[in-house]
Amino acid sequence: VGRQRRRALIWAAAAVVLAAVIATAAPARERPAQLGRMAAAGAARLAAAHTSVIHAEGLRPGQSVSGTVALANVGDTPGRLALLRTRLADVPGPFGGLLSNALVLRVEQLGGGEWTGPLAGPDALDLGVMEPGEGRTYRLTLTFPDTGQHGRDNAYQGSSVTIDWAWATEAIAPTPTATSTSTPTAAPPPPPAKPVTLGAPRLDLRIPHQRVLGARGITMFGTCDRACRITFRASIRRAPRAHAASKALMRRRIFRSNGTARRLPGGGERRIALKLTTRAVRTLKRELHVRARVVVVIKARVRGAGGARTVTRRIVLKRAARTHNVTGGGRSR
Amino acid sequence: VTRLLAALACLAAAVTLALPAVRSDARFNSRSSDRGTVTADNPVNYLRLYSQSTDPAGLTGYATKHFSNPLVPAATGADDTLAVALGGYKNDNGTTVDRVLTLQALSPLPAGASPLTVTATLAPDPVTGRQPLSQVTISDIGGANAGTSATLTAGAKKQVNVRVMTKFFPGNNVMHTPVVTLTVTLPGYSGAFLNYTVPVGVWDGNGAGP
Repeated sequence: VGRQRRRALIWAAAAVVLAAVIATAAPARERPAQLGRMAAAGAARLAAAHTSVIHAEGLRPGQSVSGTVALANVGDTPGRLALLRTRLADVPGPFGGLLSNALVLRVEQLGGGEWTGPLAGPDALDLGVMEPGEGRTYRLTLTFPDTGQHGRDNAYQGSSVTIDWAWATEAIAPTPTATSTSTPTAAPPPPPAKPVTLGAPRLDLRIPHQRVLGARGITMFGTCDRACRITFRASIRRAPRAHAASKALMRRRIFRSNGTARRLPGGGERRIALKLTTRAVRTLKRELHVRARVVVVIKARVRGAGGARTVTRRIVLKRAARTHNVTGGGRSR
Repeated sequence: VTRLLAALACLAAAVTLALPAVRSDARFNSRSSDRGTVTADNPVNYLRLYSQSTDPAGLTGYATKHFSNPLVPAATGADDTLAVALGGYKNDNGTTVDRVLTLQALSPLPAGASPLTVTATLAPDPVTGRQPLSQVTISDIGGANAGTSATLTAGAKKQVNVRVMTKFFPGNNVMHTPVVTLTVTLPGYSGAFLNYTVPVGVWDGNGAGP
């Protein structure tokens, strides 16, 4: 019995030793085969030095505030760098305006590319691949555009916004290198920061209250988050109440063909005035005379880097005592 | 059998422990956070508007609501919430209403902001399209040195006066609410962002109106 027990103990001890050897040796033996992936999976690390943080009080239209951030990939492998907006907290002023809707963000790599767009635009920017050991400096600038003297900025008086950003690297597989006997060469320059492309441009189309027939046209204000080209179409429809089906009165040639296509730069708001054709004016007048209400459905086709999309606005013209006013316009995306 | 089972158990445990090291392909993200805070400017950082009930110095003699009984001050509230109801002025050929409200520069003013220049302008009622105010002036307390603009150093106080004229206005018992805009400019900033818009109600009808 004693010999049997001793033999069992020896077997058990041998099994434990064997298992321990396997466990210890496994990573060491697997690492060469998985080296690229293993390294890519964990070695891209980001170091940041904040030379300044964006902070401004009492910003007025036309003014900007900026801060710079220095970043370095202190890991062993390349990493894809992204700027993520993790939080956007608005505190409206006494007139209810949200400052994030007014501010324009510029992300500029010093010595590299840049991106400009609305602060409330994309949540993430792809800033390209950072090689191991590479350092970059970015300048973030927030601008409060001056939109004129007519009190259009008043809604933003006293409003504030807090933005949290995260600079994130995601490890990627390293670029395949030449054979170990080749002469080392200087690494190619890092690609410049690329603007993010999240589909078609976003158009913010605002149609204020106005007199349409007096001006024989419709004025609106458009903002594209990046440079875009817009073409407008419209139709005139009957405006029944209580969601009844509306009848199309005129489907094309609402606007004069000259000027229905516009190009907008990224960011700032632009005034767009579209003239009505004589026939459209006649149709609107007739319908207003008979029914006191008429609908104009405006379709803006937006094209730009990343694709195209259509933005539709429906405005209702009402007969006033002696004028015809637009109601039902508004800001939406 | 027992020995074999024990050995297999140990082997399984060892393999299980080693597995993550062999199979790991989890992606690793490195992050660094940053924060931005931006606050838009506000005219209240430079200039305060007062009615009689909110005047911190207890100044009296503010304009009253015409035909109100008992008489009540025409202006109520302060700063952004200040509003004026001048009362009834039916077919009026021109009446000056002094000290409708007062304005005072902050003391001390923010660095570089002294002196302030305050300019008063009028805009007609956006609904009726009528303008029952023919004039707005800013003057010293008491009425001297009246003009459409005034220069204020830290702590200086002025009063705003208007002239009402509703002669030949069509209709009866109509409330007109034109707007007095008080725009603040500073050394180095001449934009129109820093402004107060004060609604001024004028009742074109009988009695004091609403």
